[in-house]
Amino acid sequence: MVEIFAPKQALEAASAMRCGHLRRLALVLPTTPPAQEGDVEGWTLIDCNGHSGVSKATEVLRRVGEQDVDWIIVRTDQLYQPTEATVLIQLRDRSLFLSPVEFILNDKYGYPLVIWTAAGLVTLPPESPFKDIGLQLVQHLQDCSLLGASWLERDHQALRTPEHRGKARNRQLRFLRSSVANAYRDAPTSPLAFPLLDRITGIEASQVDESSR
Amino acid sequence: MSLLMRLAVALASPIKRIDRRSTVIERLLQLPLTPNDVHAVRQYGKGIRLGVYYHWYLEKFFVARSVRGVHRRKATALIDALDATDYGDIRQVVESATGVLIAIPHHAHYVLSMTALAARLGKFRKVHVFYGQPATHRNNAVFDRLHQVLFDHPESGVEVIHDNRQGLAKAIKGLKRGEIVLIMPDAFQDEDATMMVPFCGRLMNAMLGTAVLARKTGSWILPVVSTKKAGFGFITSFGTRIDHPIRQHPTLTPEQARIADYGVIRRVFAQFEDRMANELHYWQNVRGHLSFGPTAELPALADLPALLDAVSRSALFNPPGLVLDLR
Repeated sequence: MVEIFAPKQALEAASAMRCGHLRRLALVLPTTPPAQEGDVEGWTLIDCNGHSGVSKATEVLRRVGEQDVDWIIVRTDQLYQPTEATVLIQLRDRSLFLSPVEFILNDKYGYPLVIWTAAGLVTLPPESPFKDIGLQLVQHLQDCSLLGASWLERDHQALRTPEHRGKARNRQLRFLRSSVANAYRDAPTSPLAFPLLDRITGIEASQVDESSR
Repeated sequence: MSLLMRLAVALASPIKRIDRRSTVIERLLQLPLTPNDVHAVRQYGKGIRLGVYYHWYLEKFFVARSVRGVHRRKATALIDALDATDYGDIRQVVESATGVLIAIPHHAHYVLSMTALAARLGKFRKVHVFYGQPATHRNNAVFDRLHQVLFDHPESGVEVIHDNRQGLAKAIKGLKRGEIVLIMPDAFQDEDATMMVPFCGRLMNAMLGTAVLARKTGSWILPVVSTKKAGFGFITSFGTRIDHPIRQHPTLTPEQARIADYGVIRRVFAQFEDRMANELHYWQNVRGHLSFGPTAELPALADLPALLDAVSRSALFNPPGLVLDLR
């Protein structure tokens, strides 16, 4: 059985870098139970929930712009919602959405990215090619599944697929059409329903099919 | 057989007092529940004990076992023994000048209600029992078996049709000739083809097919619900006739027709809700219906423009900020 490089070891190794030559760093870690994670004191955490002590990506990026954040942990596995994951990655066999936050930290603000994988830490220097960042983040998410039940965000990863978003859009459109039909169900000939239905058709026509790009 | 069943079900009554999960019972009943399912069963209305749900599945299990492998006379006798329905209300169906769609949900002993109804009505005019083919709806195999036993002779006046193109064509033709179609509007194959209707505190996906058939054939709809008789057995409960508004508006555009169809389906489900709301655990779809999301309503007309604005601006409908081709 192949031994997995534990996220706790990753945090310890990255924390050691703080005492070394690096002035700032963004560490990409999976979401695991706190007991398995280690001491995150002194790190600024980014996740989707804005928990106490944890900030949303937009908030951190604003603070990074003001230069008061040096050590950041990014929970890439938590950033899967359409508002958070806006970078479409096309692989040979599938596509998925990633958050742009790692790309921005690395490219715009010059943070080295230190990414946990099952085989160890992968370090990407500032201004790395986007393709390298994308590939390593995909590898990171793929390796997260090797953590089994310890990976707390395992069940949410389907939400970053174009197929899931396509279904969510269809559901939203059905909800809108049902809402109009419901509002005019006692007056089906009312001309007032048409502009609303036309708008829904317009929204539907504007949607992009990411899976067929 | 009926007596034995009654006895077995009565002897199992103490199960109703259980309110803890039992993997043994679930295995015996082939009813593997998820935590979401358990939550759904317990939360509805004032909540029911899990044991009541187990007991209901036990009763269904006994009924399914009893009808398996019996011959026509015995099956008819069994259904008659369990049936406590007052059939006075079917007079309007028998005497109808047009075709009639009898809409029945997957509630309580719906198989027995449909079968008993079809057998009675088939004596007066041709009846088509319309349901998903067992190849795609595994649970419907029991229909096929039962109908083969009961109706596989021309005098029965009952024919099974499945939800495919041929079945639909037969239903339309039959309704136009003034025949009867028994249909289950709470089932669908393709979620994208459904509309959402409020039902028992949630939104549910429903096909408009029953309303479309009524509109295209000039038929009317009779909502019917199978309910459980206290103790053991079933009562088929008849609702109120629903006429499609196409009669008042003979020239509707496709969009207007869809809105009118939707209104008809809402009325059908409103009648179902009246009968089912207090005993929703007898509904086959109860776990799926209640296990997801909080109570949801459709928005009021005044809120629709703002909702459309919000949706059109939402991230879900925005193109990706960046596309990286890593193929």
